[in-house]
Amino acid sequence: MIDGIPVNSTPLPNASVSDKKIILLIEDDPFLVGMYKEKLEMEGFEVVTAEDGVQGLSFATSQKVDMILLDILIPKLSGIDLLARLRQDENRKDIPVIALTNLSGSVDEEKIRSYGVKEYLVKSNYTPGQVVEIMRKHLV
Amino acid sequence: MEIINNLLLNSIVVVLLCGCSFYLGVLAYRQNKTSPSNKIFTRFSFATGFWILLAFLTDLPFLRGSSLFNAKLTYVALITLSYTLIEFPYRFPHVRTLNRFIKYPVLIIGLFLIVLTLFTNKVIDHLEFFSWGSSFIDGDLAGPFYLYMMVGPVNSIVQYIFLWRKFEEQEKRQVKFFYIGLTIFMVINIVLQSIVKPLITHTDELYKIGNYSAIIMIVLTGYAILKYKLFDIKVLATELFTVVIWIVLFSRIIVSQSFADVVINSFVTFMFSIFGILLVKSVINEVKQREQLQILNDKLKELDKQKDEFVSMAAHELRSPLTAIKGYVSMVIEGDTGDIPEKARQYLADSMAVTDRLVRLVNNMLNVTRIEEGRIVYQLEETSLIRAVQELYNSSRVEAERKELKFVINIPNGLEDNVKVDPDRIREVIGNLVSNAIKFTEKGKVQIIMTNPKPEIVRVEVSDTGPGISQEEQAKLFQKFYRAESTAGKTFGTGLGLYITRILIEKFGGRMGVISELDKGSNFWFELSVIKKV
Repeated sequence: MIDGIPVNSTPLPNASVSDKKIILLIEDDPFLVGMYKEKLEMEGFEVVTAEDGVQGLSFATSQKVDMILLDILIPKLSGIDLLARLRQDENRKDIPVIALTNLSGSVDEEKIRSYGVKEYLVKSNYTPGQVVEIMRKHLV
Repeated sequence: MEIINNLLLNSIVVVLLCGCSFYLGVLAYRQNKTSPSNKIFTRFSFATGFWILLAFLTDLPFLRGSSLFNAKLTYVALITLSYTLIEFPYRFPHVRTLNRFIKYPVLIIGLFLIVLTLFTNKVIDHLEFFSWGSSFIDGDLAGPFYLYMMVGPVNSIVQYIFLWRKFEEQEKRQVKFFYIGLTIFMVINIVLQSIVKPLITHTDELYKIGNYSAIIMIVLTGYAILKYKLFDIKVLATELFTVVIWIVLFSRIIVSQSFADVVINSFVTFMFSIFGILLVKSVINEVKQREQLQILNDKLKELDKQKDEFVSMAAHELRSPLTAIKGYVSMVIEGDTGDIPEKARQYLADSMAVTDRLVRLVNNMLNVTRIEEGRIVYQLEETSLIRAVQELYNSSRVEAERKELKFVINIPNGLEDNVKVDPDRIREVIGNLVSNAIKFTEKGKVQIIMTNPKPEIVRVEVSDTGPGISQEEQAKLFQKFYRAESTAGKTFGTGLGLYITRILIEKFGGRMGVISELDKGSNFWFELSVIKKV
């Protein structure tokens, strides 16, 4: 248990309600949350947002999620710790994760990549359009 | 035997050893008056110093009157030494509490033995005198005394064996020194007492060697305690060296056969005294300077760390608003908000280009410190160089069009472009070159050309019709913070772009350069090895 969050979640339901892919966006900057959410919804995704690590992990383990866009420097539980916990969860360890952060070139980057994220994107280097393009590559 | 029992020689050795013991004790105490390690070492070295001194006094023929008393004091020093060794592992290198049910009984037994030694003849019965000195004849209770003598060293050895795993590297080194000293000391004494004495000499004649070997233990332990905090060991060595030579010279005055000898020897000793003082002083100075340098160095390292943390955080904080600006502008340009007037699209494209320039600036700033310290992490993967070039071409087009430059890209069909690089960083490299070319070209054309000069090499050239760069400036162009004279003041820039670009290309096993002449434009190029696709 981490702050009331069970480490092992319930298995995923087999059938999804709609065909829309569900994206969990974990990001604490309200401007960026607004921007990515808008763009993703425009592109036909269903977006769930979490503004800190604990909330993010709780969403990831309690509902169906097709992909996680994960910021690293977030309150309460850092992106790295969140990833570590997620990877220990039998039912959730295969959810594709894209690290979407402004942290780069540091030891943290190496660590995050070692958890098998699909991409490590430095936010300021990509427009939301480019991010969506990259996401689609990993959602087929 | 003659040499070992030579009185003058012994005096010199004893003075040296005692001087060294007391000096080290004082040095440790003065270095840190509150450190338990240093305090116990001071007691340890003083007890040893007194023991050697008193044993020597007992031997002196002209002090026969007080020999027995000196002999008893010798044992007092030894009891103190043994008790100190019992406490030693509890003070050095860590402080641990010595159980008081062990501490006080051991202390009381020690005190009891001291009283017994001093005021009765139960420990030392009497002395017998020989030409080489005096022999201690045991009293009825000498056994317990010898036992007490063994407890100290054995306790130290056993304690350190059990503590060994808990020590850090430096502490292990320190304890190792102590161990070596103690072992040498014990081995010499055991050999003398249980082999040489009963089998060869049958007297205490050689006990001095055993006593003197204690100095090895003192010096090594002192070194271990002092060295890792202090550079003073060099001063110590110089001082000891000076004192040894001085004593030798001085004793030559005493044994001089004629007045002329006295004069000459005195003169030599006097001159050496001056030389010795100067030598020690200069070494002290050097040591002080080194300490000062060490302090400054530590401060610099701390500052550098702070700077690096600051740059990291600043870059991170700058990137967030940049992401939002770039993101929203791109969404408007891409039509996410519906159609916009052509004029507005142009303006937004401009602001997008400028934002990209800022993003590059932040990236460069962040990269430069990391690259230099080798702390940057590269993600090397096989990647298409054409794709990277095309992406940069597309994102830079607006900026070039804004300046009404002709901006073309030239990639021949069938070009080998598979390279092993960090995809993000190679985009930074191309971005730096292209944005420089556009920035410095007022009119004419900027061209990106890709070729395979050899089948195993792919080359990217970014040429412009800008002001060109003189030969002298070309030599300095790829250095940190260098900004071409001809451009300084006209445009902004940190002077980091080309420096980082060169380092990155070199990291990826390639090379880069520039071909340019004043007023004839510039051609910046880099080459990378082609990786054959599997």
